[in-house]
Amino acid sequence: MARLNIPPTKSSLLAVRRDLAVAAEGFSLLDQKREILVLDLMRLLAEVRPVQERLEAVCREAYAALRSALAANGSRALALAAAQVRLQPQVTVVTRVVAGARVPDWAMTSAALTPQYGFAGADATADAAMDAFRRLLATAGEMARLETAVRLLARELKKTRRRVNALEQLFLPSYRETVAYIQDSLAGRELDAIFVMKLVKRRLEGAAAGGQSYCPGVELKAE
Amino acid sequence: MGFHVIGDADTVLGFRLAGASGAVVTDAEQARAAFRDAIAPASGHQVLVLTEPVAAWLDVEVAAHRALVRPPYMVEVPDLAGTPVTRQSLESVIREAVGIHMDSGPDTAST
Repeated sequence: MARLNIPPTKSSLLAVRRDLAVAAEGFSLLDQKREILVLDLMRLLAEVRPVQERLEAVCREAYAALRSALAANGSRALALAAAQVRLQPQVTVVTRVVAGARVPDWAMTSAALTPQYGFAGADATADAAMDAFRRLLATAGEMARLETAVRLLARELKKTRRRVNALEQLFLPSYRETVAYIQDSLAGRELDAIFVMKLVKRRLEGAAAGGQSYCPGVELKAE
Repeated sequence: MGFHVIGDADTVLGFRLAGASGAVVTDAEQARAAFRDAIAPASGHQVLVLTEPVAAWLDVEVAAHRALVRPPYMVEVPDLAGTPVTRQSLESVIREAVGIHMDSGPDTAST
């Protein structure tokens, strides 16, 4: 892994250490976020399957009911009946926050089933179709909620995984390597300095004891 | 308004019986126009139901709107003719994001 291109000094060591600490903290947070998202997606997956099956079943039912209603009443009469329907299924959206992602969540309300059109206008098959489509609408709403949540969380998870990977594979190793490199070269320089100091000390001592020059080859001149 | 449907005449008629509003479309151009109207914030729809052929016509628009994650939230249903939903299933979306493969059993996850 490439180490960062910075001079090996004490101050840059401190700076890189700080960066490393921040990166490590960010990594652990993002890793937790990733786990939360995975758990949430798994939970949604368990929810999605039955709803998907129910949607298909309810759809088939509703279309069969609609077909017989069309056959019995004709599309004109049925359209007339539909125009008088006053049901207004409503959806109240609230936002749920999952690991920083805002997921829409909602509750569906539908008015009680009361006669919606004239009794003479359409027969019982139309009522059956209406009821079947009310159920289809509820299931479709549920599916829309799950679908939105799944896609949102999946996108968030992909993003988080990319970040976690970048930190884990790229930033953390290069920071660690840089810290090790700077520490090494600082230690080497310290050793050099100690060695030089010792050398100087020995020569100074030798000069004091023997009256000799502390620089070899240069004679001390007596005053 | 809560629900809005875009689809063929019969399917929309069925949803109207349940109190949803709807737009009848017969080709891609009409579908595009109806979709644009439906996703306008002024329309106030919360859930948008598309029949499968409509969703196929509006591939790009649907994907773009989905990426925004704002109302109306979309769902696809088969139409009266029974065209099955052949989109990328939600399970494969999850699988791709999680990065592990889920078999039918709950305990057979493998990397």
